[in-house]
Amino acid sequence: MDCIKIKTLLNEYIEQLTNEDSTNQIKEHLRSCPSCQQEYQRLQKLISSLRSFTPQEAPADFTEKVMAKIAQEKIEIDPSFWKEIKRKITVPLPSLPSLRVMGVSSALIVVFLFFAFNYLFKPVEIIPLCSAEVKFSLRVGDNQQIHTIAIAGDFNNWDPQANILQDSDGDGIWTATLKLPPGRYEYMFVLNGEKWLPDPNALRYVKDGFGNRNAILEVNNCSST
Amino acid sequence: MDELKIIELCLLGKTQYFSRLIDNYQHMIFNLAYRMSNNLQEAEDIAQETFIKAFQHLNHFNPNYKFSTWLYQIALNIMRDKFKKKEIHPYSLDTPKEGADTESLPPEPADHTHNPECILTQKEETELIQRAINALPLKYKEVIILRHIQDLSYLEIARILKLPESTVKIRLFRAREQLKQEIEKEGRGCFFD
Repeated sequence: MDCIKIKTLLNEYIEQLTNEDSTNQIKEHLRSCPSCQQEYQRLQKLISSLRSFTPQEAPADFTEKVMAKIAQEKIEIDPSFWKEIKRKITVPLPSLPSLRVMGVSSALIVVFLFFAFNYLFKPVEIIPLCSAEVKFSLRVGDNQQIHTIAIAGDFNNWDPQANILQDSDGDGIWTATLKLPPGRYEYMFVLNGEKWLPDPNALRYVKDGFGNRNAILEVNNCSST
Repeated sequence: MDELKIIELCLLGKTQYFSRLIDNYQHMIFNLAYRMSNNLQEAEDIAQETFIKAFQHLNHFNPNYKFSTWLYQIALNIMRDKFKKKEIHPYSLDTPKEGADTESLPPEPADHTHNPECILTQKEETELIQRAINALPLKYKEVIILRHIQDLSYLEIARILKLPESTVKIRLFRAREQLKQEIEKEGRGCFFD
């Protein structure tokens, strides 16, 4: 290989991206060519200097500042549903005969009104007058280092601190009893405040859209389970 | 707590959990913004804007990708926009915090004309490289920082920039070549000796 080719390959060689054949050829060439050797050392110095830059850390109160800004300026997560509807409505229409334009736009308006109607006039929620006592339990193996188990779901706003399971007799079965009005609930167990685990004993599950699944509990009446 | 679960909780209305995502990624984004802008105040503004944009558009995050990839994309878009509008002036002589005693004076180009041995301290070297990075075109600056300062793989860079890995390789090769030239120019031949 000549020096021009070697100098181009050095960029890959220095990051260990060359194949075995090229690597050996480059090594051999570097031993006998002072000019390429010098080029290699320059590249090496550049990369090691860049890597030795001290990482610049964010100020200590950075998180608080951002969260305060979100709260003060009342910044909200974009509701993608409305954005999608709006995008569909505001798509510029190609110049079509006016009747067709009217047809398309009235169809869009009908769709829009349908969603708007559903959104504005939700059926009145019937508040159940009773609730059932539901006992949740999870068996934990002896070899697992568990300090806390909590249950988080639709019923407690997915708060992993709200309902903590207990294992007072130390038999490895952690339990918690919750009073729940009839309804359909999704939930998960939270181990040590970190690890989210679907209830292995649930009858049904639903994908949570993030690669995991939530257990489903259906409370049909007010008799305790 | 699992990152995707945090995002899910935020989307369910428990937005206070977003602070955990900021905690996890603040230094990564701040360092990127600082190396790109060479200005601490600018870096803080960019990092803040990045997290606020991420919060607003959390609905659009694709869980098939890493959250860090998405954050890098948002931050780089903000910076490209600012560079275009000339709101970032990377030549500003902000004091890099590379040592304990660097708070007072802005760095000045080191004068080695009276120093026959031409030896640079580590601090001088860092300042010299940062000035050389500032002089690079934006697309070269991005790949140099992502690869050699943020220490990302070619695959991650390719995903962030939405380019094939082969293109990233070529771009990085050219960026390094130009960076070497800029260092020679800025350092008056002292750096590589």
